[in-house]
Amino acid sequence: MLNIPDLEKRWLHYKIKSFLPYIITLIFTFLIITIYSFFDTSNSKKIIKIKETKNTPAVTKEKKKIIIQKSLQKKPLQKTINSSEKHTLKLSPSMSFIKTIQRDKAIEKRPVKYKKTKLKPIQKVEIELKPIHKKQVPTITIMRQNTSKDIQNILHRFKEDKNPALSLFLAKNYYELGDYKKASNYALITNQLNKKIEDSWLIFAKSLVKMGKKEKAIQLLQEYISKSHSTNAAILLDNIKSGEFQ
Amino acid sequence: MKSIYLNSKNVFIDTVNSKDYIQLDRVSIIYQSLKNSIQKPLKMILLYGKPGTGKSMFLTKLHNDLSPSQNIYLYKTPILDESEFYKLLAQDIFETKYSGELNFTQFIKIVNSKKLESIPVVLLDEAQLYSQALMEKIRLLSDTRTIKFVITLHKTQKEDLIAKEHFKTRIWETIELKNSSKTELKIYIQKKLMKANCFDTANIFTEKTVHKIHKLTRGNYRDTNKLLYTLFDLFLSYEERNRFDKIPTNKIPTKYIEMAAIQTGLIDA
Ligand SMILES: Nc1ncnc2c1ncn2[C@@H]1O[C@H](COP(=O)(O)OP(=O)(O)O)[C@@H](O)[C@H]1O
Ligand SMILES: [Mg+2]
Repeated sequence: MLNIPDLEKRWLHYKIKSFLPYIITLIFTFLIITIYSFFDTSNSKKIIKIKETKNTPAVTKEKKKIIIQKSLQKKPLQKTINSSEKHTLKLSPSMSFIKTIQRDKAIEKRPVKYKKTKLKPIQKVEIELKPIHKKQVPTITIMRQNTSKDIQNILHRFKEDKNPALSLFLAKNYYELGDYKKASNYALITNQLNKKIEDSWLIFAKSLVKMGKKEKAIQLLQEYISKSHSTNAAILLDNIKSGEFQ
Repeated sequence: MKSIYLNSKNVFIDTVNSKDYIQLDRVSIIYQSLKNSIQKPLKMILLYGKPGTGKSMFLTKLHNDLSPSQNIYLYKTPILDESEFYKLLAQDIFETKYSGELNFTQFIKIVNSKKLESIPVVLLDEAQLYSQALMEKIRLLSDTRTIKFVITLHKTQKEDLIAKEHFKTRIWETIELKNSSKTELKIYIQKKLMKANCFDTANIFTEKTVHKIHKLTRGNYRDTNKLLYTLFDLFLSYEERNRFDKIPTNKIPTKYIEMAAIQTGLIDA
């Protein structure tokens, strides 16, 4: 049986919440429009005057743009013709070179044009950046990274199925997330379910060290090593004792 | 009289049972290719995908279909302890009981001493829960070509890539299971209901309703099961409160789908 009244209330909440952004933007745009139209009626004459004076230079600039583009388009054509000329008339002075220098100078004299020609290579650089980002992805994700959703999923399943594989998974993940209390807790649970899983001992000991209980960790590992002769545990014990693992 | 929604609700209980398997075009193609792969001298087959994409269902179905004709073994829950793992395989495949510890070399000896007519197939579900060390041994075992392994792996988005790269470098075959498309989801829902003779409820899942469900679950089978289970639970609850006016007869109002999604946590509200 579901709690219908509660669910209906939550649904209403959700509906209002999901419509809120639309309502806000609607009110906002309405407000802006009313404010704008208010100013528009009072200042309309001035705005038109400003627009008129501003319009003329804009047109001339555009004309210039077209001229530049035309001259730029011609440039590569001339170059190719000249290069073929060079093959036939071996030692002719390269007039095109001089021409281009002159043209370059002419371009330099007009700063507006210069800026325009420079814009293109900048765009190219941006395009080139993308593959670099893509390449970085695989190098970053080397280690297993489990999302909190995975943990929630396993937590849920562990409640239904007391499988030590699940609790060990939780212990490892909590350890990696830095939640040493939960890590030690689940390591202990794993250990109670199955004493032979080495990882549960190691994670329990490591979590203890992280929580400042170094002595207890050492004692625990010594006990485990005496029973299991585990080399991994021995290595960890050494590292803890020497302070290499902190 | 028992409510018609009760049967429909029970259709969507999240269980894995080979008799509940539904033929979906894409899944069937993968299923056929997997069946063929098993006959090939490939060393190992990796089945991977997000949780709820039907990996366990796949293995269960495969096991069910092939077990009459082949030595095939399914392990649904992972066995963590190495010795425990070898002992179980020794017992199931080679009928060798072993008391005390059994290590890898001893197990290999058993494998080599027993001559089987055909290569046994071992299906391991949830391989991401096995330890790295044991996975390495499983790999070594499959390299000997004495046992063929089919393993499933649940990989999160970030891990997907590594999984592929890692397994591609070896001669393993990898198969990815994905969430269903809208059309597949509709077939899935309707076939599932019709299998349980719930024809009336199967009919109320219109294009629009399935579209909405797909938007919420992204075509994930498990999420869809949860959502629809709750949806029918909702109808039952209305019925019990004698609010028959609230129960749809020919289509499902979006409101109810959203309410079910809130209840299952697919919508955060
Ligand atoms: N082909 C299918 N036919 C019927 N039910 C399916 C099918 N694929 C998935 N399911 C259902 O979807 C749910 C999730 O599938 P499952 O195999 O447990 O996913 P995974 O193992 O990938 O997490 C199960 O309840 C299962 O019954
Ligand atoms: Mg599964």
